[in-house]
Amino acid sequence: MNLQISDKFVGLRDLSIIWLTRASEAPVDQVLSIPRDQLLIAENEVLVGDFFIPKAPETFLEYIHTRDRHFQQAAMLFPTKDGQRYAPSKFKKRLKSLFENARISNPSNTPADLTPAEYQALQNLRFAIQRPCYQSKLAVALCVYLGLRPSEVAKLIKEDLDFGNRAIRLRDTKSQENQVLPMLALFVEPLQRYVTHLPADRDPLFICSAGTIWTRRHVNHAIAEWGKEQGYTRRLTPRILRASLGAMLSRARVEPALIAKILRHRDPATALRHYNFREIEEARTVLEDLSNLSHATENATYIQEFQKYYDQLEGEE
Amino acid sequence: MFPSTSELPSDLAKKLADFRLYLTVRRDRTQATADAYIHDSMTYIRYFAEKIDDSLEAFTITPEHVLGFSDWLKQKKLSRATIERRLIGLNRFWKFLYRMKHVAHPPVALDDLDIMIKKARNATQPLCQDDFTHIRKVIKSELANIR
Repeated sequence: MNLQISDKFVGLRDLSIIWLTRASEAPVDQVLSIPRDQLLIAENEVLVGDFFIPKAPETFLEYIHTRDRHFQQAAMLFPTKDGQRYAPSKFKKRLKSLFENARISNPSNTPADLTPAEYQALQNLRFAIQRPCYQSKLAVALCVYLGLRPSEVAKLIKEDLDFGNRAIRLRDTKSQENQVLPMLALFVEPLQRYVTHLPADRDPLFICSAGTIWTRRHVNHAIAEWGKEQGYTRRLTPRILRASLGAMLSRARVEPALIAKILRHRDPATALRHYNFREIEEARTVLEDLSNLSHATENATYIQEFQKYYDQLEGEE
Repeated sequence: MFPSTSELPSDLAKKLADFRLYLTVRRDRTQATADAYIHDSMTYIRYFAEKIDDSLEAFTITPEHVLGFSDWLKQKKLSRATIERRLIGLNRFWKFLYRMKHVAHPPVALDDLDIMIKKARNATQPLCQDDFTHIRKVIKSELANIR
């Protein structure tokens, strides 16, 4: 499991413990002792041990999803990263750290004693906890669906997203100019939700844990890690995803000039040079048919068909 | 040795600064491109200081030096693309210095120097259609989880 998922797991776990402690009014020790098999979830209603809670928050559901995916063997509902029992003393230390992150001064000692404002401040940490994973998904999606280059992904800021015109602006691209891409429908809602967490227009979409803006290396790393998590043995890179998009467009018989526009090649000949799958595939079809006919060369009719295909080939050349 | 131009003798540092200006203004190259050419030139300067004259007082570029530089780069086990990149950058610097009359020997093309570096680069192979379609489907559903 990579660090990103590990941190996400820990963060969501602790927020979930805080929620369940308050919702069930049970002490932390008891919540941390709940075995995994005492959890039942049905349509967001939760039965945990002796506690029934009518509506589980997304934080908890997301936590359960992450835990089930990466900690199938852990016996407890809230295990450590290593799948072991989570000690209350360790949780207390983590809680202190969460209070600091949420800038809660003079916090209460236990989750049950938190004021509503303090509790909400902790829950608001959810985006910060999940942001690294969100960033990876966004980076992959931008490369897969729009063929962005890694530096173009890394440079995106909130005000580059024009929801009114459904466009994404790319600044200072490889072609040394600003460019505009369509914001496809699948991007609109996720990006709108994502940017609600970014207060300033010039806030970057992609940052490291230290708060610095991503570079293209971070984009490359995020995509490679995502591919590994999905089980791909071949290392995924933005370049491969961009080339795959070009190939897909070519196979779909999109004209090279339009492919060049979509992929923003300065020279349309680049698209012709790299994505001529259509011509290759058409040639393959013709040649495969030739192979099928070659077994009947003694038959005069087939010889005529042969000639017709050769003429066609010559004509294409 | 010489991690930056500020550590060079002042006349050589000035030549590099003029070269940068030449690239960005006269040749309309981006800063990134100019940085790359300067880096290539600095690599040659490092070679010159290491193998020919550590004071750099006799700094110059000749075909023999370029051949020596090429061999020096190969010994460092750099990739073919990197070696070619350095030599092309150096050639550009050489042309500039010759034009400004800072070196006596006119630049010689790599081909004429009989330097050959086989290109090992292959075109990026896209994913097969099925894999790419699957990735598109997976990432589309994962985007929906962003809250």
